[in-house]
Amino acid sequence: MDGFHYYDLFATKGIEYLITIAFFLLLIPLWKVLNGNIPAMSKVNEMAGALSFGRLSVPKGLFYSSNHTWAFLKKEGTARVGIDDFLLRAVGEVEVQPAVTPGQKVKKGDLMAHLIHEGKTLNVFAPVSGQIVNNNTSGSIPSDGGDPYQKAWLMELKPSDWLSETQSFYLADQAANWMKAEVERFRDFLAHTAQKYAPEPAMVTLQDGGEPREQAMKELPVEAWQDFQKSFLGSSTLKKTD
Amino acid sequence: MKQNADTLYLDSRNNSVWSFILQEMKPKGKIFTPFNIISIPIILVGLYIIFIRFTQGLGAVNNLTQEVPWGLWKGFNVVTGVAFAGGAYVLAFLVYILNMKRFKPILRVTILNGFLAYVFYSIALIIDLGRPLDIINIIIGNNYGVSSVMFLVGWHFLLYMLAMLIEFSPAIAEWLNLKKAHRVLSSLTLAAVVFGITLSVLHQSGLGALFLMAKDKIHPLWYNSYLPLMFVVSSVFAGIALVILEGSISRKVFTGQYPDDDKESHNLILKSLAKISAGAMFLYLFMTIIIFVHEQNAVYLSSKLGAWYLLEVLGFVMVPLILYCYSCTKYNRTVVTVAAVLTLIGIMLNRMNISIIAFRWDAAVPYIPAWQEFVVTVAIILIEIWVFRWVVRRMPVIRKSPEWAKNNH
Amino acid sequence: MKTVGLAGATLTFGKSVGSPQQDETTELYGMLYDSTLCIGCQNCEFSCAGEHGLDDPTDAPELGVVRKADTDHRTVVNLYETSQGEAYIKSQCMHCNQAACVTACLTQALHKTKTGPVVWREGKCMGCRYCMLSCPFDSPKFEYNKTNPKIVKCTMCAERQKEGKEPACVEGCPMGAITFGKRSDLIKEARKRIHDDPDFYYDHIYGEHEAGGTGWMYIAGVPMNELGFKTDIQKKSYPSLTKGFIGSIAPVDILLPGVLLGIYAATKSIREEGEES
Repeated sequence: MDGFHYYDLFATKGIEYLITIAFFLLLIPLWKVLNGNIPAMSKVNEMAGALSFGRLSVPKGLFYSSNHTWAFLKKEGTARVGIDDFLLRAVGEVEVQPAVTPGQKVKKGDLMAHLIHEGKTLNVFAPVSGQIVNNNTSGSIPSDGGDPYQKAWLMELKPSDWLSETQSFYLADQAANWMKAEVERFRDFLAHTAQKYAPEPAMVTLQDGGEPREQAMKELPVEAWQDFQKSFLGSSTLKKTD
Repeated sequence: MKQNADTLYLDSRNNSVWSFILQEMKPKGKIFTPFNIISIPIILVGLYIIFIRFTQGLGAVNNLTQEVPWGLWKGFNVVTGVAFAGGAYVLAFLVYILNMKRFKPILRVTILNGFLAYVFYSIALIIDLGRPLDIINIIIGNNYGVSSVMFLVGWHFLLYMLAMLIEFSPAIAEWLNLKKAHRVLSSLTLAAVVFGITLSVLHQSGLGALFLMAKDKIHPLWYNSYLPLMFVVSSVFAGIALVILEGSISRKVFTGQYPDDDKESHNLILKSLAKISAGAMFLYLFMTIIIFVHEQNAVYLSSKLGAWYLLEVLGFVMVPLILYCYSCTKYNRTVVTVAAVLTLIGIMLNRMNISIIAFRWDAAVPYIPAWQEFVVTVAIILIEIWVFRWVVRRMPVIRKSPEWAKNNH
Repeated sequence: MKTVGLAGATLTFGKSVGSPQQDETTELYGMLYDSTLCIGCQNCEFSCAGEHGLDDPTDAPELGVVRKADTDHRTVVNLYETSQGEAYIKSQCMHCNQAACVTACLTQALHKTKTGPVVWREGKCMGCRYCMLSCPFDSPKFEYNKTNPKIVKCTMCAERQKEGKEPACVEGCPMGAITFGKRSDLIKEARKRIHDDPDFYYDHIYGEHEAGGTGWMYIAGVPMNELGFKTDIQKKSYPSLTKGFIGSIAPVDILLPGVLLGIYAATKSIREEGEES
């Protein structure tokens, strides 16, 4: 500055302010990344396909047990069992590993199969007792399109005590109401899980409309799956054998 | 205070939001309290003076001169008032960043206080502007005076009010029973807090930086190049002092809302606040001494302003510091409150010295505020208290949040 | 000696008639006021009033009375009793190189033009009066009694300069006490006058370095503090006093959130560890 020409002492100040604004905007995603925030949970507004009750298929003829398995008595006397549409949409595409073989006798509450996704396992327990006749050999359950009750059955068995064991199951309209409540309960479960496993609870919001995302369980850590097994599914009257 | 429990929160099954709000507009509590009787005339006169200010110009209602351009409205309501509102960012730091849960019960009321303080002091600032409508220029860019400290202070006021509104908004959502809004707003709290603390530090120091260019015009005992730093440090204990004072008043006025068993937790809060305040004042005192020595100001002590300076520093910084320290050894609620009041007076003295008393102390025509300026200053504070009371009586600020919002408060 | 002064003034005068170019290499223009040439006729005040549509001044420079510029009078002449006898002095806005008011103005209503004058632009000013607070010379004056107040001060007749003319007060001065020209030339001229007449002038060009250099510069027979001017004005520009603070805004904006978030993460993990045990 020679005192003879015009000189702006604060020439770069405007740009500095803009850079500061950019800094704040970039700080938010950085904070999320640094905290291992699950990208799926935080991209809440890009969702398509919310898991809402309106999209669930709850056929009236099936008996639903409170751990989200169903049983259907076919005309010839064999019962088909599987997981219902809610559980299917919650976990998404999984590998099925049967825990029993045809010919084996199972009791209600026995371990029937494993649902596996990337090393995370969900156990499915038999809703009724009987002798296994058939496994669904397709290996994996698709989570898209088609009738889940045709494609997502797990076993066929000859039931030994159908009437008394299905007494407490949900049917028809009652099943629909129960399924609606379960969606709500799942939403709360997700919110609680997000707080527990995403270290930055304040930054994770639930979606617009408050509906949980489909296949939301897919992206959650293995501890969340254990939680789901124990506290969400396990809060049922079905006894499990350890 | 007789009020129906079921009107505390909006019950959307019975009322629409509108009819609820209209119903809430009705006064609660007694109309003819001493406070109301005194404050209403002052507010009315103040509003009339503000009307005159706009119809006849600033000169009609104040004694500002060409040599002393800032008076009571800027010097007190803005420069001093904002220091008092410093409790909001200090408490937000303690509760959200340092995770000190013991302060949680008073957090919301402090944030409310801070928010209202900034709103009303911004109103005071706008009333003091010569051409208030042109304030929009700094927003739309006509032009962005980025070299100006005042530009920074103005923008920060705006952004900080927004941050505090976000921090406080869960209380509004609880009042109106808006569960989804509550969830969304609560998730924004951390961002609002971090942003708010950063903004606060910068604009509290910015208020000090405003005076840096007036080097020749402020008496050497008060001017130094560390003004921004001193303003930040003093805002810490100024804010805490106001929190203490406001807490003790609120306890007497809103008794019905406090849970019966919280005397223990309240005393713990007061003790902790006294400790923090004492620490900050100790730092401030030593900074003052260092600056005094560095600027070689001893020569000024023998003058009238020198005595005034000593009164401010010794009487209203050192004495409350000693009182706070005393109450940490032998806790006494009255001592803490008295110390808080003395601190507040000290801050007022310091800030007003810098902005109007020691500013052009040598002017040919010394600046003495007009009575209208005093009335408007007091009126603005009283209106703020009215709004504060309105909110506290209706929203879950002091009383507990509804069950569904239990993650907060 | 007065002829020498006049000749020098005419030389600079001649050089200044061409209108300054508005480009990056434009030099700053300024004014040189020579108190020894001033006879206190107030023609400069009348010319200024005439140029800007103001009322003519009604009082005259008087010993013992300090006249000040105000919203109706942008420049005033005062009479002082000095150690070298009576002397007149004209005062107005100094048009500093690094003007404190320009730095202070949050809407850039006060603007330092590339050629030198500091002007107030209507339509931007919100009347916050921060410029008045910051100016070491108390130059900006505010119309307190108007509902649409302006900031008023000398504009170095920037509009006239655009047309290639000199400021009104220069034209009005019969003694050539005021010279308009490039700042560098004015300083040379001032030095020349002092050098040629060392007993007559006090050896100091006021405004050469004061406040970082000002557009208006003064030479007189006595030190300027005998003529009512402050001589303890610092040599650094006044905006440099806030430069440190302004420069630390962005670093604080960047570092403080980082520190806060870091402490937050640390206390959170300490809390979680505490809960698990």
